[in-house]
Amino acid sequence: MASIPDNSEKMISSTLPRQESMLSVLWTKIDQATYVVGDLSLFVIRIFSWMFSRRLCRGTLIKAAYQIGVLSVPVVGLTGMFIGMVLAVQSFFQFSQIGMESRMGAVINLTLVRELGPVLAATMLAGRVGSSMAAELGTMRVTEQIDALKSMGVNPIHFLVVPRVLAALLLIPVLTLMADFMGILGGFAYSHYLLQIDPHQYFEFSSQYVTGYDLLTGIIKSLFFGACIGIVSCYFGFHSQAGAQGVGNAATAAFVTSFVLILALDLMIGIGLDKVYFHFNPAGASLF
Amino acid sequence: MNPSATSSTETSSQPFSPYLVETHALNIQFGSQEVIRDLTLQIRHGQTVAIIGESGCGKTVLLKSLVGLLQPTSGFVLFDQQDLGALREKEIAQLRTRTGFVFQQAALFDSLTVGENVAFPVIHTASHRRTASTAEEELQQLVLHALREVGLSESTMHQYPADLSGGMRKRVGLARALILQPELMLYDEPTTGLDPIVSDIINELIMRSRLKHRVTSILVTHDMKTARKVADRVLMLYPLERLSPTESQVIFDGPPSELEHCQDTRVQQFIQGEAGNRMHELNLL
Repeated sequence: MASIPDNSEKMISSTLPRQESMLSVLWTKIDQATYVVGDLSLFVIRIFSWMFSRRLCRGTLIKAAYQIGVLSVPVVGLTGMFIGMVLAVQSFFQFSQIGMESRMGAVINLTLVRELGPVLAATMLAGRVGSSMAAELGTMRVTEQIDALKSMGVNPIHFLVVPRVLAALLLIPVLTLMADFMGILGGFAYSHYLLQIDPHQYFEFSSQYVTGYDLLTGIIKSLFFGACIGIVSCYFGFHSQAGAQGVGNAATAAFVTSFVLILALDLMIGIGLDKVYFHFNPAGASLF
Repeated sequence: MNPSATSSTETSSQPFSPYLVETHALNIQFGSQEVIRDLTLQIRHGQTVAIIGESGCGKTVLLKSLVGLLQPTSGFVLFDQQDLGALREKEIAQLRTRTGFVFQQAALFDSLTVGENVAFPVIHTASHRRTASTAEEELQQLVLHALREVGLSESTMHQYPADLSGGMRKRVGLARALILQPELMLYDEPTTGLDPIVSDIINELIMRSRLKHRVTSILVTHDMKTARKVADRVLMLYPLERLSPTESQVIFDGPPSELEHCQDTRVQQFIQGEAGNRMHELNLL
């Protein structure tokens, strides 16, 4: 019987350099990630220390609030309305099969208020405002406008970052409430006018299942999302590389990172708030 | 901390120094790339110094480090006997209100009008904000005066930087830097990208601001005409990768009139703008 040649040693030796290079790549990535996390933490500390140590420059917060809040109203409102309608379309088929279509309102509104309203408002804000903030600050970095600020004795964190973070933090709950409202309106309009669901039953079941705590959960989540969008977008803009590609990369990284963090925060805060809810109310009845 | 340096609170008790800006054994590196090595220089009050040298030799890095926009890896930068490395962020910000910086591309704020750009240092710098007494009308007059000093009319006040030519942008940058009447003016390639006539206008404006306000000026330039016309001292830096580890990075330091008589072939090659052996080095021959 012909012996099978032992290639194991050869195979190991041929894969070793590859393993080494993969390890070194992995190590470099870990090193970079550690640096970014540390640098981002210092950035956050500097933002909050400037936020509370000195009054904001006149007009900067209003300007940021207008750009972040007012100009986001149409897109957030439209998104909320369509998501409400989509939920109605999807849930009608499932609920009608078990004859419970009158309870659709509870599912639609609970989903909107607890999850989709905050997450979609935050996602739209990250896309519309986050990448724009990163690109704007990135361009300012590349064209030495940030250095110009420093050269005039103006702290760029205080002048550029704090108003943006504060505006995102303060206005996202309002945008979330609007997304919730538009979603509820869209879901109801579709259910009532196109699926002929009785409006009384629609809202009766909703009020039984959707509580004030659900609304509060969405608002608390949105505060974290707003801070995350503001901080991450400003961080990537502030550390943009030179050139058009550098600014583009900063804008993309700002959106992708914000989006991933929004989803991760959504999960963690959701679990945390549920634990708080059941801690104070083991029976699961409505807190308020 | 440098023992010869003081904190901002001690300045008044210190004897007068003839030097406004000093560096001592200054080293700056980015990662593994060394840009400035062991640089010691002293710049007198009222002096106009042109820093010349090839692209990438560290001129802009040096200029930015003089006002703390870049941190040295080691060594000291002293401004009016104060060690920038030992100052707190607020103290450096306060100190920067005594300096004006004209950036290579003017670095005007895109979202603000020309008038708002020029008024910016008055409105936002710490010392002026605290008084908060600069009335709107007074500010308007201040901005108009600054614009007229650089040859710009009232009509430009409401224009945005994107609507201006390169020369106009540079002049707005100059007006913005001069509005607080700084003691030290820093110019990063003030004539780069401008036609010869506009370049000469900028040169004249730099000279005029020096005479009128008696400012100390440091300018980084490739333009030998600017260096000869404006400066009373020229400093030539050489890229570190072309120097041996023991050689000084400053290969010329003297008045512009001595440039022609300098025996160093590297200086002659630069001021005459000749490629020389570089064509061989770059495999272009």
